Amino acid sequence: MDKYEILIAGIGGQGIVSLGNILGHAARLSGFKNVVGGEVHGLSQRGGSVSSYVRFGSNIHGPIIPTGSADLIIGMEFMEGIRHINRLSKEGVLVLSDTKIPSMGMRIQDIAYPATEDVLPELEKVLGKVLMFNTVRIVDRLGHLALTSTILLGAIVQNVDEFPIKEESIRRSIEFSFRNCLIEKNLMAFQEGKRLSPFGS
Amino acid sequence: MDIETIAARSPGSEVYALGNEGVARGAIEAGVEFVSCYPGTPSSEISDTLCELSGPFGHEFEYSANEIVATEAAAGVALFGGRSMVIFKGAGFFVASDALFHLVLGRISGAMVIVACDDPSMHSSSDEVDLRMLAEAGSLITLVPSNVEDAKEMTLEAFKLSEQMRVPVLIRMSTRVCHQRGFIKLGDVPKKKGHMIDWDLLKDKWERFVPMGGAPVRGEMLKSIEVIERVKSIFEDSKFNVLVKGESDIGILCCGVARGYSLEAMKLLGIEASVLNVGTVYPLPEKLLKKFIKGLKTLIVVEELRPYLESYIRALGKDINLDLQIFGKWNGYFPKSFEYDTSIVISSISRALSKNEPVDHKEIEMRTRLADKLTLPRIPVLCSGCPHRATFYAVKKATKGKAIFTQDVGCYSMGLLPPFEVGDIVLCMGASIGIACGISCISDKPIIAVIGDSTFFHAGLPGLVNAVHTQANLTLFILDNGATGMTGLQPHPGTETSCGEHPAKKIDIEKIVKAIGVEDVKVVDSYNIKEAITATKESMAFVGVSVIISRRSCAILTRRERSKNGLKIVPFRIDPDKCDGCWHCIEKFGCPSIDKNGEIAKIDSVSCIGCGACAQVCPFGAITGENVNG
Repeated sequence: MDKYEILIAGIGGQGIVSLGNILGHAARLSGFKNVVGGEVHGLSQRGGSVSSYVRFGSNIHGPIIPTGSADLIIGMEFMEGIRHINRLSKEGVLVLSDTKIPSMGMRIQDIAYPATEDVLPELEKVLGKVLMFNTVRIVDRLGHLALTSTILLGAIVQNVDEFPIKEESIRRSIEFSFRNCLIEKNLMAFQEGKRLSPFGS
Repeated sequence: MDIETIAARSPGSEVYALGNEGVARGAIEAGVEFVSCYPGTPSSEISDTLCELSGPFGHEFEYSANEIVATEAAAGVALFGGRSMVIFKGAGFFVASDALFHLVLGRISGAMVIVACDDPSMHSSSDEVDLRMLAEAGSLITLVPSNVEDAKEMTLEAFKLSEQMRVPVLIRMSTRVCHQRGFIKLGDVPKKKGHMIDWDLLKDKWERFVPMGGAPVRGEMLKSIEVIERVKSIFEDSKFNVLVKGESDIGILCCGVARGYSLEAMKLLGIEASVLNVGTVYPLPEKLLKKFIKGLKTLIVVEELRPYLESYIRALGKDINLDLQIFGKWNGYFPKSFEYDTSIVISSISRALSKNEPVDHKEIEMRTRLADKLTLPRIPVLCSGCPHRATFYAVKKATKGKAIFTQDVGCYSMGLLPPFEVGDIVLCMGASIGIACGISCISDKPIIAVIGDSTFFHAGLPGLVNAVHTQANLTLFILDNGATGMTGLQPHPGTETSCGEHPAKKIDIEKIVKAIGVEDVKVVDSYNIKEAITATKESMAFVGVSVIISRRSCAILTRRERSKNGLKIVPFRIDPDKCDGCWHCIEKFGCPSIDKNGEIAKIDSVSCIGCGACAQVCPFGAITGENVNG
């Protein structure tokens, strides 16, 4: 594999930036010397969209994933993951959490959140692969929305073909990235994620 | 890279750092002694990191009242022989420019590095000025990093150069360099600091910072031109101008973050070209550029925002290489605004060289359309329990929306969005009052100006002085939430602490306002909507300048404080028997903690901070709970 590009999308407070850091370190630990990341912070703290890029391998220099180039999109929030599909490559994989957070605009204007069964078939028609995981159930059990990231990482390691980051690197990166009290919780979430099966294609 | 990492890791270790953290680490490795700033995205992580690092590394740090004061303070340190750094966003450069453009004519004794961050595509700004052009206009020596490693190394170099040439040096960052991540190697942190001069022994004080026009300043100007010439010759051999030679007569000239996109595009297009990235942006390395374009047939210039390099190279080309074909912004090959990425650069180079793009545009367009169809925009909102929300609700109720609302720069700018739409004009820091002064001269309509506490100290004070002096008729809301909220809750002159937990003298807004001569001053609790409605009506009836200070701590601070002090947050609840499902709390108040749950509303117990403002707006008295502060 000469290059790999991951786009992480969600909303402020979901731990998008931390997930980018975990993956950046893990890629390095998996032997990729050249790792470049990019983040859009902006008004993230006010419930806005946030995205983070992690790119590694050869011919990677800039911080932005070009359109049609991402190998993997991790949608920590359902609609946010879909927002960036024009950056996904033809064979790229879209991983979605079932976390759905309606925007304030939708609530004020009384617009319903798009239903999974309406959206998934449309995505599957166009994209290489769509994998959706029920992370909400595990989050409810473990108690922190921010764990969505490590749950999805577990699901990705198990379900995304040719994912170039080694499981062991992710574990080490998690240990390196969180404060003591959160390491165990995140490793547990990662383990739980590994047991998930997708309800996409 | 967290603070512990940057502070504790030993030289030689590698960290995955933000460009902004690269600058901060560069300053530490250069032995910075004083750092000042006014926070602003995308620069905030530089100053916040250096604030936190002031503990372990011992430099002085201040969140200044505004950017020009920050610049002057940094200049004071450098004049006295210390090493200083001042940090702000692009718009902050405009505020600081009066000081900056005069500073270049004096001679400092230590070192002074200015870091200013442009924001192409205006992710968190409302201007797209290219600071490279301003730097040239003001003869400000300028370095432009392309990536995280550059950010750190250029900062180190900037301190050296500043100390050597005795003039300030600018590091011009841009959003995608600020918020880029990459692995950098930590270097040594020096023990030796800059030398302090003996002020009493100084012979040429009056020449150092020029106090008057005419002959003395003209003399300084000539010296300054000499300095620029010397720097230019240093830049001819600078390691920050990176040439990658290719076996062809095509050249690519690039700058800043565009370097990465150019290299990627070249490879993806299968083009052989020589690539020169210019990191020393002012003064430009003339000889190096001449040499670069001499043997070329085709030159492609890739730079975001203004055609700074391109204009220079077009002028230069006439003497050196008349046949050179140049592709850039001048002839429409590259976009003139917004940030670039590899896709844009591929598309522009393909057109210039008449090559087919290796991109399936149809497929991408189809996906873009599908994403548009399946998603809805997500506009930022005021947080759960934000005191500004209650204020805007009261203002809207009191005025029935019938007033001219001049707004300012901060979280509260979002008051102009639904459901409040309290905001007709937002221009720049402090303008809410200045603009209201002007409107008050030619209109009898009621005017409400809205400004935050930090912005009031930053640029609102002169506006208020002006309003009182010219006897304007307006009502000014000062939203005092005890922090510079938008940029990450930094302290300001109205807070009791400065950087970290250092005690600071708190400036009392109420006393200032009264001292300026405002006769109608009221202080209300932002969460008390009834009180705020009454105050608004009274102040609007008052002829002259009225000020309402709406005070309540930022909701994020409240949550933080309560958790620090071990106090529980008790969320409010909906009484299902009383809720009528009128949705007033959602559609007219819009707190993110309230959502629909079938026929009635529900309050999210995790995000609710228990402010109780919503209980006051419910027409059916269906929201109950115990207020945060009783």
